[in-house]
Amino acid sequence: MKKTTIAISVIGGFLCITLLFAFFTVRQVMQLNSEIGQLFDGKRWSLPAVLYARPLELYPGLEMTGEMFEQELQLAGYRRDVSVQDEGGYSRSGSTFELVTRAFVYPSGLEKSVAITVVIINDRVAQLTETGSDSPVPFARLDPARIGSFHPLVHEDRIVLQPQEIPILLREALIAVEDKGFFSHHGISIVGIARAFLANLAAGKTVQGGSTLTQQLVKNLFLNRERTLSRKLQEAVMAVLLDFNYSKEEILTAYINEVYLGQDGARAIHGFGLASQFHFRRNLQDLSVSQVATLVGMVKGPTYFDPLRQPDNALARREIVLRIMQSENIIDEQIAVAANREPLTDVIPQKNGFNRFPAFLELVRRQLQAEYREEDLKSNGLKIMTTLDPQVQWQVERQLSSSINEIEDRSGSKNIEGAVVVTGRENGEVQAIAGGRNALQPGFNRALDASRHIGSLVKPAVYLAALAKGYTLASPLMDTEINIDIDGERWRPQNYDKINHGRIGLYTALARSYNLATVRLGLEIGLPEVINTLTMLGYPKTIKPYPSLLLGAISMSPLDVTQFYQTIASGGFYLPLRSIRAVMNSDDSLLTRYGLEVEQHFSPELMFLLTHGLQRVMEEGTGSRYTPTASRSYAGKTGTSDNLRDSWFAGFSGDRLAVVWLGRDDNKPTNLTGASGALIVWGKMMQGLSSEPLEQTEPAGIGWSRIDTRTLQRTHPLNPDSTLLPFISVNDNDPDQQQPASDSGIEDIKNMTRSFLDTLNRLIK
Amino acid sequence: MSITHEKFRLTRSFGTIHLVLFLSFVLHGCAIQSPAPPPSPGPESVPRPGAEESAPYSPKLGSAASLYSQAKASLAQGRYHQAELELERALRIEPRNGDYWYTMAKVKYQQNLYNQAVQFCLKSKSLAGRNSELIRLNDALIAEARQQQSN
Repeated sequence: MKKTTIAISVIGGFLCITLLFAFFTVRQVMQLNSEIGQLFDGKRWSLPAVLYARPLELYPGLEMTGEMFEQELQLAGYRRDVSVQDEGGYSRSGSTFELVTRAFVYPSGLEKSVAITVVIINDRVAQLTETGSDSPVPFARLDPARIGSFHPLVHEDRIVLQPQEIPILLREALIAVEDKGFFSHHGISIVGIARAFLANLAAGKTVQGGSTLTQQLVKNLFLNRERTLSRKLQEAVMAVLLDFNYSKEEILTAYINEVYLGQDGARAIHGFGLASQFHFRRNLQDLSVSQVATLVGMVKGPTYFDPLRQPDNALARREIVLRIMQSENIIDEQIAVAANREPLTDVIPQKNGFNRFPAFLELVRRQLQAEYREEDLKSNGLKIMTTLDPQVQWQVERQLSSSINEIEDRSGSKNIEGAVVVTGRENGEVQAIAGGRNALQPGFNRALDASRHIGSLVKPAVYLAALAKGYTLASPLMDTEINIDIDGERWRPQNYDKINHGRIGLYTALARSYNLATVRLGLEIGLPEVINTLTMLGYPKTIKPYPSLLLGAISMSPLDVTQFYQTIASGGFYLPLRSIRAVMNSDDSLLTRYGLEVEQHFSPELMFLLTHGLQRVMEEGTGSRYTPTASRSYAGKTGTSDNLRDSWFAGFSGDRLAVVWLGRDDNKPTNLTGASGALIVWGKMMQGLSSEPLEQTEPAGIGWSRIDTRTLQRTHPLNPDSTLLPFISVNDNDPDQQQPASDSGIEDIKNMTRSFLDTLNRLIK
Repeated sequence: MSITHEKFRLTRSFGTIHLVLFLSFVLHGCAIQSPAPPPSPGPESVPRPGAEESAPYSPKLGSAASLYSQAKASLAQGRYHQAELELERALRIEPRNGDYWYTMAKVKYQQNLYNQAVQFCLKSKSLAGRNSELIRLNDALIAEARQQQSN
């Protein structure tokens, strides 16, 4: 070091100390010291957990439109390139997509980056090949879309970079442009201040700022931006203290991760890592020289030099930055010339998945909070693989919003709100959640927290209890007036159409949701039996044995309803609903996995009967307003609560279960039944998702009989008033057929009940 | 059809109703006294019109098939966690394939998770329809798992 440099350094040091004690007492300085230490350490170690949607699995035959595929790619941060070479790029030419996936570490290990070509014809993946060699690829898993992070502040997001991940070019450019003397000053630069003062004096206005990177960092760390003199002095002192307490490397890294570089709606873009993704859809390490220069230029004014909104300013600024880089010998003339010629940007910053799905994220947060502390979620850099299916989620949001608008217009009711939950039929993975008609509005999450009477949605539990006791789908029921004394008060339930239908078959009472027949049946079976069935279906809370339970005078959230319909949809197997597949550490090691688990609570034969009954709901009952494309493609149940306050529909296709609720937050009547409200939303959604038609595997213990619809007795095939119904049977003639009962069978059942009760105990704890 | 045949069928059906009732009570592990349900017509083995000989689930050809064979290979090599992950992926694509669920049961068995092995077998059986081979395999594995549990 030259003598003059040393001298300046020493003088600078003295001046700084003088500054310290000129304006602040020792005690104040200590306080500032501790404050800046806390702020700095807090930010430095804050690696918020990152959440991912489910990865998209491509295979020949997968149903998906070209539009949907492109939306998924964009959500996952893929950028449209002219020629696809780098990871994260794709190109589209009509129905042909070329892309290079990004390497990603899953619980199962590293999935390498691959270059593939996808051809979509008639809304299906027709061809999946390796780009170039054209050899067929049986399946390809795209790296999952980042959908949010558990940052301490709701509207903030970070991609936190470690020192070794920061390109040298960026560091050098940043220092050259913003703070040449970074490595030699002590937090504030007297020389810098003096230079700026003179320059501003000469120009007659502020043309130069004298603040160092350290000072800028301090400014960024404060949550509220005052620009008073006292604040500026505080910041100056803190900069000196920061420089005293931490190394230049640490300060520079923190700066690079903190600096404000743009705005995406309500989300502030902090740090070069995130800015690189947002403005250029690339990792920082993949940026070109000109792109680095653009970002460095934005430090001075992210809005004023925004490449999208102020391209002229941005271009001019980039030129200045490149010139500085050249004069400081960071790049040579050739590179500078080439960089200047590059277009400003080749992508449109996309509104990506950040906190784009607040209702779903809330469910994840709750399921995690049972096992992880808040601090772990906010600072350990966990990777959370969720079950969210963006295609399903988009469809849900679109249909809920537009259908409610239509319904309000048509019916004149106002202020209708809604909630939706969609899960996989056989695995209980939550694919989508809507907490309200406006999906983007965080706030009251109706899917998780609305507690509403379920009305007729309870009936399948009643009918299942009956079937389990030996009733059949053809059992005659009396749909006639009934008066019950409850604690001295009279309860007189009524049918929705106010008509008594007399003697009808059980299958009809279920399909048409007759109240009177259901209440009679439920009381005959006994409330304890119905409650037991509801519990075994998976409703975890205590249920009071009031007769009104039989008509659904019990409050549940849409998620609760989904849990107990899941057992029906899966054919009698209890599956805990999951929103998380796995949690991994920041080093990609596996922390916890939430795998597939099933527990049989009802026999396949019983569930076959019930499901058949629920298919009839769609065909000829309260759900028939929604016209199925093929007969019996769906099974479900409408639900309407007292005074039309709640409109429900719960139903499943071959591959999905969906529960829809509509109602008003103030609990006033909506004038909607389950069929005129929730079913409309449900139907549109299922159609939009091109669900697989419901196929029931017929268990060995099932036989069919043709039944006269009036007498409910067996009849011949030529009878026009007849229908075919399934029954549980044992065919003695066929020795190969499974006998549904044996001694070990009874043991099975006892063990099942025992293990179920164990599970129940654990759930209740 | 002669009258003797009618009577014979009726008697058998009656016995069957009683059997079914008994089983249904037992199925929920409780023996609650309740009024006998109103009489219903006995079930008769009538093939569903248009239904093929009760179709056992036939696995789709495609991606899941290759994932599935990968899973079987992992299982054979003793990499149980890997097999589990691959089977879960296969099951997302073909959720009602009884063979996949059965193989998952085998994986759980190898991991000494006997309760779960039994449950996955029951799931596989529920999807087996009249596929007697798959039913037999599941029953055998259930028996083995039970055996291990009582050891």
